[in-house]
Amino acid sequence: MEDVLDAMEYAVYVSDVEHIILDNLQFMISRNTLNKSFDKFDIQDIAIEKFRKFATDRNVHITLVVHPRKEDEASKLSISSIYGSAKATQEADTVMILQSDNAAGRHRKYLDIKKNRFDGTLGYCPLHFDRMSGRYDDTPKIVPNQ
Amino acid sequence: MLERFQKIYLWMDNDGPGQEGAKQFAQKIGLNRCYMVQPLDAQDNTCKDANEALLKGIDLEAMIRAAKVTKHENVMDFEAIRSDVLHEILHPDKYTGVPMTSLPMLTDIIKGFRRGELTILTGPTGSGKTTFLGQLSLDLAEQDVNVMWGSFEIKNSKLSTVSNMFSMAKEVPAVGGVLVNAIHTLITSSLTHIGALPSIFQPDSFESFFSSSPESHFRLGNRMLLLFCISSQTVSVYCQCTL
Repeated sequence: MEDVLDAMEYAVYVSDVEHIILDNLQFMISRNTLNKSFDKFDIQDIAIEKFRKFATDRNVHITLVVHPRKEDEASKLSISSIYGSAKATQEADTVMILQSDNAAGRHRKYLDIKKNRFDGTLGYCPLHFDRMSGRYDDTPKIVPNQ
Repeated sequence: MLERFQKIYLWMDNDGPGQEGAKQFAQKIGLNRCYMVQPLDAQDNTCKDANEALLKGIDLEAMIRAAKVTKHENVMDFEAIRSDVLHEILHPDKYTGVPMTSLPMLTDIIKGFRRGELTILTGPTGSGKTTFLGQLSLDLAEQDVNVMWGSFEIKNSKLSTVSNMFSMAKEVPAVGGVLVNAIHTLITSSLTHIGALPSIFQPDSFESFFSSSPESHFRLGNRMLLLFCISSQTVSVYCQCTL
């Protein structure tokens, strides 16, 4: 955890990094469970607090991946599905959920924006995977029959 | 370089982004020795920077003498934030973040990624979170935003192939001699943001390069790699981005 913050500090100072992607919270903190006096929820809360502070102090955007708690795969995720206490969603400026809708043979994906501190706009953005480019697109591509 | 100075005066643009930049510099070189030059009265306030103040004949010395160290971060009065608030109201577009260019609908909702903020992304296992983030980092890299990846899940070598996703894939129908020109136009128009293109992209040398090594790839700076894949019908030009 401290190693991560240290590396971030260095990158911001030396390379003028403006955006940090951390993938993901659970793996990062499961690496150091030496301190048995905290349970994993406490550790997670502390980590989120540190990242929040880092983003504000160093003026960088941090995108943090947090796994959902185990739930029925068919059901959609909501803001309370995020693993751990409510700390993560309280501290975040933006909360996005990548929903995957596999019901009835459909394979649709969309980004569900559940929190937006900037101007409050919520909503969703469909994601269509384009195999050709290996990227997501928000409008479906119509492929003509050859 | 600046270690030997006890007092450093910072005079940056008199607007939101300028003041933000001044704060950032001050943080890097030491808050307590940085003196911020700020407008003294309404007349100064119309000047964007030191150059404008000089042109308008304002007493620069007085302004520099009045420069103050940044205030304690926990103490603030409305006077201090008035200009920031006003600027934000008058220029809302300057406060939106870096857009995710490949997903305009997402950009519409969250208005881009702003500095100093924290985003939480979640989703079921295998839903494509990492893929999405790879695409996001490519979008940001293309807009000259420095991105740092902290990955604790997959090996670094694996990650670099993930983030080596094709940043664009376009196809040009292979029609005789028009081909080389079409590819040239495609590359130069897609890569204008890179700045100076390597000499190989000059129209005359490109044709000989292309005909000598049609199935080829080569580096563009240290960030991009171009790939040509040719089939009988089409030519695909891929541009790979390495972060």
